[in-house]
Amino acid sequence: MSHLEEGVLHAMLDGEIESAELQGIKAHLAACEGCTDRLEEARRFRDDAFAMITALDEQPAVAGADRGQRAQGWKRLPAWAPGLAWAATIFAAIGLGWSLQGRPSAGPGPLVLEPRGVVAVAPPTLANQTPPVSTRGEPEPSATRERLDRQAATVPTQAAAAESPAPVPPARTERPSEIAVASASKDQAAGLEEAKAESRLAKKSLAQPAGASAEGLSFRVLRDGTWTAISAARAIEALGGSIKLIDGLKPTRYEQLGDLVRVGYETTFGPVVLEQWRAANVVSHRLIAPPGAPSDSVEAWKERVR
Amino acid sequence: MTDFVAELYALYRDSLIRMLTRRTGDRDRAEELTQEVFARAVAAPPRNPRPWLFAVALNLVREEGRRSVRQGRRLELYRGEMPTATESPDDALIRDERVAGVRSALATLSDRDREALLLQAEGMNYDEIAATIGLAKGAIGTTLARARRRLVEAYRAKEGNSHVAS
Repeated sequence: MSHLEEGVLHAMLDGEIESAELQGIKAHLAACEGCTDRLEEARRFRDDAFAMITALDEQPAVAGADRGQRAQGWKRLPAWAPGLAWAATIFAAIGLGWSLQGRPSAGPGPLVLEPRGVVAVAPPTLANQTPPVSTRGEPEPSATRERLDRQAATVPTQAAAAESPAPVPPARTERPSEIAVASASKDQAAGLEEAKAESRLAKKSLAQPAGASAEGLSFRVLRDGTWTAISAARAIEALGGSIKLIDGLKPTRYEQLGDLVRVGYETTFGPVVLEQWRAANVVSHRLIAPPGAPSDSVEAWKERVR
Repeated sequence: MTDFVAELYALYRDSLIRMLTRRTGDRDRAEELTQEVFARAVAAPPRNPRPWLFAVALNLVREEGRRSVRQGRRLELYRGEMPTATESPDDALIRDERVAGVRSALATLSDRDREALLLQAEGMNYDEIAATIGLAKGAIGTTLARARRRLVEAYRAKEGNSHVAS
């Protein structure tokens, strides 16, 4: 039997393999030491890469530096006020509707800022740990997939977007606001409902502390220390009096590291961890599924978090 | 203005800004680009919003890159000049070096590989990534595998060079 492709191994780690196909892959892995080793290697690459991406969020000083530098010398950049938000978007949209007709791109002005300086001091070594898979990359419900299949043609792909990054109003004689309202069809309303569901994972991730996403580079750097086994009562206390659990599963351990608490479960697919933390009187959480757990099981666990 | 786009704004604004900040290294610019994305969504509300919004955002970044290369206006950011008051200079230096190392490694990837990584880090599944960057779903696993390997190896190579340099 031929060996598993690297893309398949990564898809498995990302929870993108359906249950039926997963059985065959697991059977091969059970009999093939080479592919098992490659799976572990793929897991390290996946975790390290994800930790590196999240490490890019560690830029509180840089954001300030950017603003300061721009204010001092980079006058060519647009002078949008930092707090400019929704109201500005409305006006921009109205203007856009008139000005962008037939134009494939935005106006001139913006610059790309690409930091290139790398100081000759050794950055931290990439972790070799092999933690469970974060569910941030897990697939969405099948209904969403079906919708994506149906509507794939409406999405500006890379090639199409290269020529026209966004649709433009059909005619100059129409008012942009009318066009926008007229375009908000039932399809969009349905899309919005599903978009809300899709965004749940993203919204969870927004509440996460930087580096709390994987036990790779940034995770280890930001969380030097050891998880300490604690009692259920202590875990509840640490989270301010409430804790989230997975309905139907029995916790096997509680652990704490600083402000973070995690509840461990044993499943047939391996250990499942529900990591949580308290911020602004709200307990946020993240479910960490075992590598190779089928996507439908992961979705079921996530839906049962109470 | 529609409630539909307003809802999209509430749902995806932060995610877009984070992804664009990771992509460009410039939070302010990421916010500006996000405003631009939603302005276009107001003009023509998308039916498949999440991939549409991210595709437009990434396209704006690519347009900027091409334009800045043509016009010779590429700028450099020098990190670590203004550490926050709550962290030590050493901590700020380490953080800035780590971010610079990752960004340097990320810059070695192709646009497609880099974007697949960034979208996956935003919680997109393979269907959504495929719809956003214009690939078949079956190619996403291979794309991510290649992107992850190259990113980590580029970082390690840079780390090795730093050791040699120091």
